[in-house]
Amino acid sequence: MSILESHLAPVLVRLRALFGRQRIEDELDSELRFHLEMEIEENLRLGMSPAEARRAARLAFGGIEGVKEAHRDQRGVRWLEDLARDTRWAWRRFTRRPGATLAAIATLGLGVGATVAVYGMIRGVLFEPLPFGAGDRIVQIRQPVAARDVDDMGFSVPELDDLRSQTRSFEAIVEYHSLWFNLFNEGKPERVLTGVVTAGFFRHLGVEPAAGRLFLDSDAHHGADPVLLLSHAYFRDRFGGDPAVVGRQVEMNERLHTIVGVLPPLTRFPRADDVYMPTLACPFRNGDGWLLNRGFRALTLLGVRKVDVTMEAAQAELAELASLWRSEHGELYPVHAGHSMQATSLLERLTAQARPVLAALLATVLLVCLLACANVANLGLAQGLQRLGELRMQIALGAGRGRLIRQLVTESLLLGIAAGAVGWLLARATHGTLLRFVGRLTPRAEEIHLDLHLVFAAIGLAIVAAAAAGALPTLSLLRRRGIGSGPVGRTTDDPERSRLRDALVTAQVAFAVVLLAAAALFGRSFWKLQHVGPGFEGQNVLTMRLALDFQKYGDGADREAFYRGILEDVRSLPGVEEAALVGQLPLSGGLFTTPARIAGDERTEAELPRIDLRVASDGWFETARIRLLRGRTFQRFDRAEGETVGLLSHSAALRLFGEGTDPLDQIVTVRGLSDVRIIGLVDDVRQEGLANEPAQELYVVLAQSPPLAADLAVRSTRPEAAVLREIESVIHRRDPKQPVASVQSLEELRQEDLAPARVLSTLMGTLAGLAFLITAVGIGAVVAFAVGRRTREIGIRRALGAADLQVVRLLIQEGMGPVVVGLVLGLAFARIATPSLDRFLYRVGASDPWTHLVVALGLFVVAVLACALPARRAVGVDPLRALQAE
Amino acid sequence: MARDRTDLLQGTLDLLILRTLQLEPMHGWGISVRIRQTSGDELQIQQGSLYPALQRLERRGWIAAAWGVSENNRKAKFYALTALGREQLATERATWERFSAAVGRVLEA
Repeated sequence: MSILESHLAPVLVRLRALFGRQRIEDELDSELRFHLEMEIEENLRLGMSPAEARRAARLAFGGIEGVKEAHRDQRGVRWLEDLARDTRWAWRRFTRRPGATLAAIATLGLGVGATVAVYGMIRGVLFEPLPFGAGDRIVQIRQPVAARDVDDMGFSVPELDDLRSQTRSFEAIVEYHSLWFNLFNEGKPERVLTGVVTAGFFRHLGVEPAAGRLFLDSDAHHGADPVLLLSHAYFRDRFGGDPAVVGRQVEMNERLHTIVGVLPPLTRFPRADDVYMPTLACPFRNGDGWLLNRGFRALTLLGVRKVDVTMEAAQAELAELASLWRSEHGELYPVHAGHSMQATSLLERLTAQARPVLAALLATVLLVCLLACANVANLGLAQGLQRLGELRMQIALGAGRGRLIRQLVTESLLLGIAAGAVGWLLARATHGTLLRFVGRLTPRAEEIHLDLHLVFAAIGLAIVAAAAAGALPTLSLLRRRGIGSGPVGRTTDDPERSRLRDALVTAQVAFAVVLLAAAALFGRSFWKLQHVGPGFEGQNVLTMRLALDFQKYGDGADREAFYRGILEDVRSLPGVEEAALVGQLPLSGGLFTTPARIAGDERTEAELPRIDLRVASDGWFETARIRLLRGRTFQRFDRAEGETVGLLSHSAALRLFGEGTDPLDQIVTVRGLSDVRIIGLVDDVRQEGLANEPAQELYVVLAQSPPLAADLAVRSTRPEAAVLREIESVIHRRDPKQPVASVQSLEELRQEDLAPARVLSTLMGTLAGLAFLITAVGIGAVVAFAVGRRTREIGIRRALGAADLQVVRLLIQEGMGPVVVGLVLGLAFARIATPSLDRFLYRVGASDPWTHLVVALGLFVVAVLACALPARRAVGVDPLRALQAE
Repeated sequence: MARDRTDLLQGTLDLLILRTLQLEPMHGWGISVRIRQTSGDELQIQQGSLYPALQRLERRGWIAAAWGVSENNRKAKFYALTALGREQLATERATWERFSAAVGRVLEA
C-alpha cells in the first residue's frame, strides 16, 4: 500500500461511512457472522455438540447490537447520523401534534419578536457610537435653573467669550443657534431651518464632509463671502443627491450664498437643520444687541473636552466659573433659583428622554417573553405522559441520558429556528411604527437598524427560550425514579410534576396581572389626556406659518401693513368664517417668558414672576374659540397709534394679581413694551402640550408689536385643499416671495400632541392583550390535559353518585388554586413595580388600587371560564366509557 | 459494553493488532486467535473491542481492508498494515518499551 493511499484511506473511510451506510452495515454483519461461524467451528473441533458449540459461541460473542454500536461509534460520523435521526424524530413529534407545535411556535415567536424589536431600539439609541469623530468627548454646556424647571438658559455672546478665555478644560467651545430663513432655490421661496454655527463647529466635532468642504475659519472673517453647508437630508430631498450642487449659489437674506459642501448623515442635534451658515452670515448674530448684551442668551454651546481632562475636572472648572459670574454680574443670574453651569455628555443629552421609556419597554417585553416560555413549558409538562412513553421506548433501545439531552437540544433548535423566524417577521412588521414613536423621543432613532445581527439575536433567543421551555418537562420526567419500569399509560398524576405545572400557572398569572395593570394605567392616562380641554376648538381651523423676510420687513410698520392686508384679503375669501394671526400656535411651545411687573411691585427683575408673552391679532380668540371670561378681546381699532392693551389668561391673572383683585384696567409692565393696560381675561390655553399645565399668558396686539413670523389661522368649513390654494394666491399677490409653510389643521396639532401617549398605550395594551391571551390559553390547556388524564377518576366519582355540578366545581376549584395564588402575587408585585411608571402617566396614580383590583377581577373571571369549559366537557362523557378509558 | 476503555488499554490493543498484522494480512477471527495463541492464552480479545478497534485503525489509515476468501473458502474481510501503519507500529512499540522499562525501574527501586 503506497504512502498516498494510506493518507487517502481515512478520508475514504469517512465518506463511505456517510454515503454507503447500508453497505457498511451489511459488511459488518457478514464480518461478524463469519467470526461467529469460525468460533462455532472451533468449538466443534474442541469436541462440543453442535448445540453447545453454537451457544458457547454466542455467549462468547456478547451482544451483537453492542458490537455494532461500538463499531458505529468508531466510524467518525456518528454525530451526523444522530443529528439526522434526532431531526427526523423531532419532525415526527411536531407533525403528530400540529396544534400544540403551532401554539408553541407562535407563543415563543411573539415573545422573541417583541424582545428583539425593543433590543434593536436600545442598541441603536444607546449603544451605537455617535457619528462624530470626537465621540464621547463632546459635551453640551448648559446653564440650568433648577427652581424654575429650566433645562438650559442658553448663553450670550459675552458669556461665550468669557468661557473661551477663562476655561482650560476644552479643546474647543462652539456655538449654535437656529433660525428660520427664506431661501430661494431657482426662484422658488422656501423656508429653511438654518443652523448658525462657529466656523469650526463640524471640524471640532470630528465630521468629514460627504461632498465639498467644511467651513474654514476665514469664512467667518469680516468681509468674507457668505457660504452654506447643506444637511444630508436636505441635500437628498431638495437637490436630488447630486454632488454637482457644490459651488451653486442660492439667495438668502438678500445675499448670494455659495454652497461649499454637504454634510454626511448626522444626528439631528440640537435641531433638524436644513442648512448651516457661519456666524458672520447671520444678520442677527452680528448686531450690537447680541454682541454686547450679556443678558441676551440665545446660544447653545457644545464643548469638546481635552483628551487628558476628565468630566469631573471640567465640571469643577465650570462650577467655579459660574460662581464667579454670579458674584460679578449678580443681577443677570437667577441666584436664588438654583442657577448653575453644567457639562453633560452629548449622548446623555440625546437619550435622556428616551431612556426611561426604553427601560419600561424592555422590562415589559422580557415579562412577555418569560410568560411565553412558561406557557410553552407548561404545555410540555401537560403532554408529559405521552412523552414519557416515547422516552421509555428510547431508553429501552439503548439511549443514555446524554443521548436524550442531545435529542432535546435538537428539538429546541428546530423549534427555536421556526420561532425565531416568526419573531423576526414580527419585529420587521412593527419596525416602522416603533421607529416613529422613538423618533419623537430622541434624534438617535435614526441609528436603529434591522440588520443581520438582530436576525441572529432573534434565532438565538428563540433557541434558548425553546430549550429552557423544553428542558423543564424533560428533566422532570428524567428525574422520576423508575423511569425504566412501570406500565405505560397509568392515569394517576405525578405529584411533583403537577406541582411544577401549578407553579408555572401561578407565574404566568402573576406576570399577566402586572402587564394588564400597566396597560390599564396607560389606557386610562391616554383616555384622560384625550379629554383634556386644550382651551380652544381646533375643528375646521387651518393654519400655516408666515415668516417674513426680516430685511424686507425690517420696519415694524411694514410688517403691520403686510399682516393687515393679508387678514383683509383672507377674510374676504368665500367660506372663510374667521381668520386671525397669532405669534405661536397653541400646543406648540415656543414660550417667551419675561418678567412682569404690576403697579406697586418693587422687587428686582430677577425676583419678578415670569409670564409668557404672546402676540395675537384681532379675531384670534374668535377664530380659535378661546373663551372670553371678562372684558373684551382685541378689535380692529386696537392699532399701533392707540393705547397699548393686553389680555391676560386666567392663570396669569391669578399669578400676578391674586384672587381678590380685578385685573381689568390694571397696568402690567414688561421689558420692551410700554405699560400694557389689561382689557380682558381669557381662558387658559395649553401652550406647552396637553399634559402640561397651561402657560400664564399675556396677550398683546399684533398690530402694536408685529412679530417677524406669525401663524395664520383660518376657520372655514370648506375642504382644506381649496381654501389653502386660495389663501396662497392671496398671499403671493401681495408678496410673491413670501413662503407659506407648516400647513396643518389645529385639530391635527392636538392629535399629534396625543400621539406619543397613544402609541405607548396601544403598545402596552397590545402586549398586555397578548399576555392575557397566552395566559388564558395556558390555563385552559393545563386544565384540559389534567381533566383528560383523570377521565377514569371522574368516571368513578360519577358512578359513585357524585352530581355533575359537584365534579365540575371540584375541577374548577383545583384548577383555580394556582391562579388565585398567582393573582395575589401579581397584585403584590404590581404594587411594587408600577410606581416607576408614574412619569408616563397623566393624572393617574400608578398605585391606584382600584385599577389593580379590577384587572385582577377580570383575570379571575376569565380563568374561571377557562377552567369551566374543559370541566364541563369532562362531565359530558358517559361514566362507563370513562371507566374503560385509559 | 466495552466502550469506556481507558486510553492505555485502547493503545495497547492497537499495538497488538498492528504487530499481528505486521507478519501477514489477516481477518478479524484470525487476529483474535493469533493474539490468544502468542500470548499463551493470557490475552483474549473480545469481539466487542476487536471490531471497533479495527474500524478505528482503518479510519486512521494505519490498516487497510479488502474482502477475500478465507482458508475454509468463506468470504471474509482481510486487514493489512499500510506504510503509515508500519511507521505507527514502530512508534508505538518504542513507546511501549520505554513505558514498561520505566515501570520496571519503579518496581525494582
